[in-house]
Amino acid sequence: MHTTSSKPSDREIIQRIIDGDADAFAQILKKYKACVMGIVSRHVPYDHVEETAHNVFVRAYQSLEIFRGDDKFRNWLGSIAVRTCYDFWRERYRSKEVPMSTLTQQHQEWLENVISDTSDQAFSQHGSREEARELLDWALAKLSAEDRIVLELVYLEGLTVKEAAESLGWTAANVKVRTFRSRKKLHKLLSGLIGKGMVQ
Amino acid sequence: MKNNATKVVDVLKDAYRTKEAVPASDLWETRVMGDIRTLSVPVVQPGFPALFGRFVWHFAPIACFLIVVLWVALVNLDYAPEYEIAATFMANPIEGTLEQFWGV
Repeated sequence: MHTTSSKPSDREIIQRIIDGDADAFAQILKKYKACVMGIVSRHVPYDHVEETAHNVFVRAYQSLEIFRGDDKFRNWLGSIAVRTCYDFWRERYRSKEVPMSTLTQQHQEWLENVISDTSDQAFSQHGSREEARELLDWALAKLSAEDRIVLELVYLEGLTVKEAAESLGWTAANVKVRTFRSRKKLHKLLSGLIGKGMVQ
Repeated sequence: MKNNATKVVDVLKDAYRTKEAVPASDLWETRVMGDIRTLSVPVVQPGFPALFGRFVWHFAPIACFLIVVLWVALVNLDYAPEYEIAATFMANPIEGTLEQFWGV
């Protein structure tokens, strides 16, 4: 009983950090690292997850002064994580470092299997396949950084337009329009792929 | 019946949602904390109302002092602006024009 009440709250820890105790940030790091890693892992390639999550915590530390205690710290940190991932892609697109993977015969076979399969259970089993992720990466690389992040948040993760807008700091109207456009682009890309019988 | 693109999208959604999170290693944690320690402590910047409230009261004694000085000066100089303005109008050679203008 005493152990739970003696645990400092996020607000108390943040106050200690602002008062000059940088080591207190280790508690924040320990508490939220899994959450941040989870968000970042969904948005950036695996080999960049640690580096991006590192940036998330550094940005959070530097922005602690603007954190308002009435907001939930987890949501606030999650929002920083999403924006850092978006910045990661913006930087990559700007420097033209987005990996444009090519699709192979293996992907073709996988795609044909998915299309010919009629059971919904089988669809979800296909989802665990590496080919699905590679195909998704291929399609997402064809979109802009803005379309990409919106599509991931709203369409793939299932966040509401309002939640995505809050995470990105954009207007709901902007998110709505971008979701619509990016979804259309994704469907067009996939339809083209299916219609052609595959690329390369 | 789902069309083919929708079928594929459903599978891709599943693939996206089942992505495993990269585990945070102890080394990574140490590196983050190492960076944090090299950064300066985040400083809380007070908002505009707080800044205004803090600075405006520094000027209050000066403002009070100036009000008293000006009031004393006015009393001592026996300065009455309304009489000065009236006198100026009375002595003004364009008085007639102004009277016509105002329709007096």
